[in-house]
Amino acid sequence: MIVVRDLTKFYPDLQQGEIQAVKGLSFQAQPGEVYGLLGPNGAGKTTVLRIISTMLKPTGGQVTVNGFDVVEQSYDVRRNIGFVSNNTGGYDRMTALEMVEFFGRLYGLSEERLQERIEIVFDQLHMNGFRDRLGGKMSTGMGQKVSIARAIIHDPPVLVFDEATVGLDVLVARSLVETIGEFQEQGKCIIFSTHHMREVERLCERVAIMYEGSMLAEGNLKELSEIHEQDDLEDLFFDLISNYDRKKESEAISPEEMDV
Amino acid sequence: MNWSNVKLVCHRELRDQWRDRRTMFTTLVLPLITYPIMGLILVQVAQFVSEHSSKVDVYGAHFLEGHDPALLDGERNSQISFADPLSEADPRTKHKIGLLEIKRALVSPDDWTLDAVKDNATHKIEAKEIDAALVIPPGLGKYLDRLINEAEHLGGVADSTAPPLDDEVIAPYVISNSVTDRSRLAGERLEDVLHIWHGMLVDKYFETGQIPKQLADPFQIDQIDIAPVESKSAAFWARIIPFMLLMWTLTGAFYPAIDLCAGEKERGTLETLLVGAASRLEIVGGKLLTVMVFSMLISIFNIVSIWLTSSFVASKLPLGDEFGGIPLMAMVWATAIVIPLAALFSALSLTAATFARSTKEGQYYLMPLIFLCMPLMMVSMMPNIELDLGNAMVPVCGAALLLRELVQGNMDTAFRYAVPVIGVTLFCCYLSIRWATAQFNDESVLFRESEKWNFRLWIKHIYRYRKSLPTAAAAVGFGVLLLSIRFAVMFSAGLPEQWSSFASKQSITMILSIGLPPILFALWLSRDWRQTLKLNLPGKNSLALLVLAALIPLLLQPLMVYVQTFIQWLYPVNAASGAGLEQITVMFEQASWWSALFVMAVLPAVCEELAFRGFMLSGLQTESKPWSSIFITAAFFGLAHGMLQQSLNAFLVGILIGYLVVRTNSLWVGVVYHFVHNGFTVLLTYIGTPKGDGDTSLTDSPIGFLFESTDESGDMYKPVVSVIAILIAIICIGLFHKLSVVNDEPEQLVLDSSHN
Repeated sequence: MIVVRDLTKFYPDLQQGEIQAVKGLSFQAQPGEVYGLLGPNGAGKTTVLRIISTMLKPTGGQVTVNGFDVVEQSYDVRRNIGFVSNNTGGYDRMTALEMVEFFGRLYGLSEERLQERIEIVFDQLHMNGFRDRLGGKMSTGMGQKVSIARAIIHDPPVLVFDEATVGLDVLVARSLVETIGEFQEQGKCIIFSTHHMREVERLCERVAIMYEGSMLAEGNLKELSEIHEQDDLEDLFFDLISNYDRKKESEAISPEEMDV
Repeated sequence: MNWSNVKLVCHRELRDQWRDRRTMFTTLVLPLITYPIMGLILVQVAQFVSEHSSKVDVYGAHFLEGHDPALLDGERNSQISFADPLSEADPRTKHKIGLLEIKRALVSPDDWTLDAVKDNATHKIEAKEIDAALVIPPGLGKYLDRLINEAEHLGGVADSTAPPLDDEVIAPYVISNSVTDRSRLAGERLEDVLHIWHGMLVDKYFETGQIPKQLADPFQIDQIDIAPVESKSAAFWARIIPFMLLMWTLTGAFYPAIDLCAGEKERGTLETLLVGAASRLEIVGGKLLTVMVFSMLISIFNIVSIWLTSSFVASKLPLGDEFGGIPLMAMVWATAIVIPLAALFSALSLTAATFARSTKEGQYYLMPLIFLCMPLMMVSMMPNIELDLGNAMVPVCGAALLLRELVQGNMDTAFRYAVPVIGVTLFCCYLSIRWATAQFNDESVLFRESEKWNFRLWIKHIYRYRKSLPTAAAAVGFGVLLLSIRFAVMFSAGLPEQWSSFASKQSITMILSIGLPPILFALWLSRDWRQTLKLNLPGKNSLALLVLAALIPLLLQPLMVYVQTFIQWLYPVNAASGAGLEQITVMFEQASWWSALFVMAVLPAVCEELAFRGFMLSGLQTESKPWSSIFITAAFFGLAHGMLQQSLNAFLVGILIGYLVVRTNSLWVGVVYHFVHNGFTVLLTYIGTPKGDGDTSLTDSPIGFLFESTDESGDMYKPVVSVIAILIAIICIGLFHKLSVVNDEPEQLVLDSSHN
């Protein structure tokens, strides 16, 4: 289970002094759920997910993963989480098997348990055909499968997918979505960040829509459609962003400023 | 830290590097084949040069016809050669004569002037027709005959009415071009042959004149070198090996470090590793071990390869005892010393490589690192620098000198200083590892985006978005700028001879180069310049704290005298610095006590405190722990004093003042301490009575009961006085600590509240 409360994150910036990448974000994701994090590029999705996976430290607020605080208990958090993104590359000079073994050992799995998990994971992800192939000689799809295998080798209860389908062809992307569905059936708590509406519609019951570090809407997909009177998720997404931009513009030229 | 994770990361990285054929080739295979190839080429070239015959034209050979002892054989207009007795004189000369292909140069008698012959020979040498020329001037034969006559006259053989010799000397010439190897070699060979002939002539003159040879050459100096042959060779290599080993250790660490850090960022694998279960420290540890292994392997492979090559070259070429192969023990010591050095350079390289966003950027950081370490590495090649306690304490330099002693076989000296050298190296290594780990924990370094850095934008940025206190980067930048200004002023200005000009010059430079910059920087880089410069009183117990700040330096005076004496024992003042200090002491006699106090105590106390404990310390405290800030500030404060002995002293004083200022967050405490510290030393020179040699005696002064005269260090505090004063000082510091409890967490005072 992931709990995010009033999360804020500032980055130093040469032009603006600092940028607030995340502005007081709060949400929860439950076991057995694929929680969708939707937003255009620069919305702050990756920052949120990097904080959840302990790569970045939050400026404010609190994040817990399976009850462990991401700042105070980062080691425990990492043992309970599997992180896959389009940025997490593989090692060119290691075979699929070596890569998965390496991360399994880092997670502290015993040799017996590691071999057992390797068999399960390689079967589940259909990786036995290229288990001894070097990373540099793998296709993109194979590389992404190795990335997932590495993330789930320790059988974590929480999984984070950060735009994991970016750059994949339709077949591989669909296969990945199906795999995520299987993880959901296994009762794992999953956060799935993307800007592909179809993937969200297919996988997620609840979503959060992010834009410029703020959460524009959050909740059950059906409920969101009803509240905003939009059946299509893509239209809903555009409406929310347009409204936000309009509101921001009107606030920027406020009556007080006009008087001045 | 989980060591099995460190081992796992290290194992993975090593395997990764092992599978990278380019890395393996350039780091391990290349050195193994490069030096032997270079050695073979050297041997070939040397053999070619030594066996290559030289073409020589002899001008005016006929002028020596019939002369005994003969230089040349051969009838007029026929082939000539060097006379047989020359070859018989020495086997080496015989070999050289065999390599000289000489022929008669044909010059018509009308053209026989020295200039014409020289032009002709020069033209032929430049056209590579010949390598060198031997010129027998027209009068040489007659001149030598005259010498024989003179010898006969001396021996009573010839007519006693022979005219006396005039001063004119006629000598043969060798014409060659020293820039061209072939011509130079031909010239040298000719000179050797002529030298033998010269000796034969002298022998004949002495024999004819019946003069004992000892009269011309009473004795030849015979040097008995007690150094064993292997030591001579070791002495040569002792200068070369430390430098080469250190260079290879540094460069050997750098390239794997770039691949392991910047390269991982580029390939996107760093993020993969960061989300794994290993902590940042474990990742740094694993990577450090990998880099260390490579650094050690590369340096050892290079040295082994040089060892094999040098042994081969030494066996093939007649280089003399001192250029023999590397002694085996030197290799063993080089291998042992490479371990701590590899650790140090690996940690430094890892830090630089972590900061880089790409492998290309990483390579930009190599040059500054090499330039920083190069002077320290080169000390082993300098003849006048010996390993002593002072040098042993300097990182890298101590290790280079220790290795030199080990290779030379000076085990006593080496073992005496091995502990400080290895201690300092390991301490630097620890600091570097901490730095590398800090870089790995810094998300702004790990996830730095590749935006283009713009100087104007950066200047605007630091002004527009300045906070109530300056940043740590601004503080360090300010410190570097201050040191640059200080050194520029120090080297550009000479030392005046009059106190008045010294005082005015010192005051102006102190105010402009030390006092003014912190005020300007505080106005520019912080929103609250008063808080930045800590211009507030200590708060509660102000008076008591200020009194204690004045009392502590007085009580610590005896300790400071001991420290100063120890520092001067460790690093004796050199002649130039000693003369400068002497000049200042002489000037002091011209000064009134109040002007000396103003220039040497008031101004430094205000200006230096504003700069170091004011601007710099405030900036550093925003991002560093109090003790780190104090140490860094004290280091800059020490460096600003220019002279090593003063710098070390100032560093220690700087730590104490820094501590007092951090406790109270008030600059005034530092100003009072600094003023009393400097002021008391100045006043002591006025309290003492002159001894006549420019120095003063304190034992006869009103406070003479505190001092005693010593033979070695002059007037010193009595041991009992020193012990009591130091004990009271400790109590005062304890009291200060207790009274300043209000500001127990000074770092909280400097936290910016802009996010709240």
